[in-house]
Amino acid sequence: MISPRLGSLLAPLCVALGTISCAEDPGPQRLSEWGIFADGATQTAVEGLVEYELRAPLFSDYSSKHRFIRLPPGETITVEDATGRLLFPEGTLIVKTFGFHEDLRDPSSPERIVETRLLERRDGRWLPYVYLWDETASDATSTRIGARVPVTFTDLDGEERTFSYRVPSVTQCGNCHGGRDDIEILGPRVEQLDRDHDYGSGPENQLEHLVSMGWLAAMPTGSRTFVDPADETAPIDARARSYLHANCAHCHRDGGAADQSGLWLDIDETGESRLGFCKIPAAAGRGTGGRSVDIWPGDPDRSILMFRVESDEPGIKMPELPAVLVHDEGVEVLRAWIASLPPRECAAP
Amino acid sequence: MPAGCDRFVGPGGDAYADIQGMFEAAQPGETLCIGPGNYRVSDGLAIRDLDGVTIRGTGATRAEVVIDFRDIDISKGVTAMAMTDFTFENMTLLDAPGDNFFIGGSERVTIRDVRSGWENRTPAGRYALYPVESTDVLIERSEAFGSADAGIYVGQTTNCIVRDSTAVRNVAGIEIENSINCEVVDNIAEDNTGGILVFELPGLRVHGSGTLVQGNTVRNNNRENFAEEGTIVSFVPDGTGIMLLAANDVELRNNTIEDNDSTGILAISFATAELAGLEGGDSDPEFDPWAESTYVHGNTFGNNGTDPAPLFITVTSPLGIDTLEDVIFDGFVGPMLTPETTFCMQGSGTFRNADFDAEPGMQMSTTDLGAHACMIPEREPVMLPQDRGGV
Repeated sequence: MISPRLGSLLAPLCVALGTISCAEDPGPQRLSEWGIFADGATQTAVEGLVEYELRAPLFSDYSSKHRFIRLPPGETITVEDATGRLLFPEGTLIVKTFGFHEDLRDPSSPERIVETRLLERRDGRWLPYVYLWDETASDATSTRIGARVPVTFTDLDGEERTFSYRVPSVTQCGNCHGGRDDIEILGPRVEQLDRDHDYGSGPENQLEHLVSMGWLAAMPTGSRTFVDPADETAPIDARARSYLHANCAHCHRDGGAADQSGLWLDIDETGESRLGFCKIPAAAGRGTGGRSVDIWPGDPDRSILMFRVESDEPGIKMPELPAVLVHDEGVEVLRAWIASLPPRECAAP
Repeated sequence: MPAGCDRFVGPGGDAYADIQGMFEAAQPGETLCIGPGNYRVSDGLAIRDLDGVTIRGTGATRAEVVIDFRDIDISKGVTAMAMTDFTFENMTLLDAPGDNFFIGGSERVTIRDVRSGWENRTPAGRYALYPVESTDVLIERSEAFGSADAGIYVGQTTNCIVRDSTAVRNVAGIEIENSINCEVVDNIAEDNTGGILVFELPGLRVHGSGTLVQGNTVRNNNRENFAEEGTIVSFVPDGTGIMLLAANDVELRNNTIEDNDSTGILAISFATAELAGLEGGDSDPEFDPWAESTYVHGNTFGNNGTDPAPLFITVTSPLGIDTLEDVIFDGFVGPMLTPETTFCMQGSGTFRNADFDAEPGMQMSTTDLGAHACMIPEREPVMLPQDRGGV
């Protein structure tokens, strides 16, 4: 085990020896050194970490998620009023654990804890870390290059599924969270946190909880409407835009890793062409599936976007990261949304 | 460790773990070396946000260091983002599902002595060498082959040079798209569907202008188009030497253009592409569909246009001809433009001002240059901070 400080001291030696076994300042080798979990197997956090959920979560191959925020004592979160984005103070830790329930139909079925990713706010930047849990979830070990983990679960239709889950490399963290720009947090923003969570005494609004803790100065208001894409009572437009934001806009946004496509799917985007309506692809290759525009309003089966989210074939599949499986439920939301759009003739006159 | 290397990986281990481990450990200014051998990696490689890093194969030639992406289940072979003063050299990259080498949002990028393409994957992937949204990009002494889209593709980039490189058996050999101030010089584009493309497309964040294409050999680009339907390059007619689409300020000079069965140079506005079925030109209000300031001069032509692709039937059929000229211009003069500010040609080469959408009996097609026998000031060579000049 190499402590962070020892790692820093060793770094020049690593360079001198040309070895690749000790990365420069790789952070704590064991997740336990961060002192954030009282019990890994149940993802019980120590006091000071606040669990949170999102209205529209990122689909990660049907994994379960456990999300936490830790602020340094006495610090607060600021809200960027215009956007609903949250600005976290130096020393903030954002924690996200990925696991798999044996049976997706039963949330109480045994859960295998696979990996935990951290973003640490240090020196004005977010630093990513990835930890891979051992078999018994007693502790997790740092990995810089990621890993592939064979995973088996029973899906919502009762079918057993086995696949190779991708734990990302630290660089891949940056490809989604950073793209061309510095690494940013993606999930937590005002509208995404504006939902209930049970902190142990019944459902409570997360933002109100953060206000009561003193982490937020006042109850903030966001600028956009986020809904749970699975909420069939919500308008289809809001469900789809929330889904696209959470699952595509990490790359498909200004500054994201796919912004060269000209297809920007973040919830703040208002331009129809940017959103893909009648937009020809820039570099889709086989990803077009023989279709001519990203979104053909009214016609999912003429929309490249549908072809790509319905595929699990590398080079065609979207998103490229993080998932390797098709998200059947997400596909249905997008299909219903495109079908609901006022039909339009995309072809040139 | 070989001289000049700060870190080194050799063959025989877990290729992905060893190379990605080196990338993760890399520090600014370092040279990361990969020794001779075959590296059949199990996952895509990625590097990001580093200054002054060189990734180098240490073989005597690029053929000695091969990174083989046939087994990966992610689109891109190498992803490099937000790099500055980045050099990648002396290696072979093969068979990624999507793109072999993607470089995004980077500054002062040099790709040198890299061979990239598809050997053991059907259908082939998209782009062999794919820098995009970058500044000051130099690709030299490299080769791209077998791409189902463009072999060497520079997109939405400011200042680039593609030089002394070879593009063979791709749909598009070399493509400059929505880029500003680029130079394609002294390359060989052979046996592609289209040899060299300069395209301006709607819906993208960068609007391009200014490309100098000079000294290239553009030969025998007659490969049947094998791009996926719906892609832009699926509209490139077989047998096209050089194709300009809605491009502004392009100079084509001193190229040798021969044995391209449709035509040597095809210069069209987006409106003509729309006639062929390309869509989306009116979805982007900032997009300028009109080609402006194309200057063709000093080129050497031979044996072009002997067997035009079916897409040209609207040109050939009304005239009862079955061959085309060295240079085809679609005749579109955009609003606020004149013939002389749209297209000029000097020197050798047969020419046709084609009329792609002629009404029956109203064919305006002509081989007379007319007002297009004009001149446009020559472009200056592109200067890049990392470039010490051609070899």
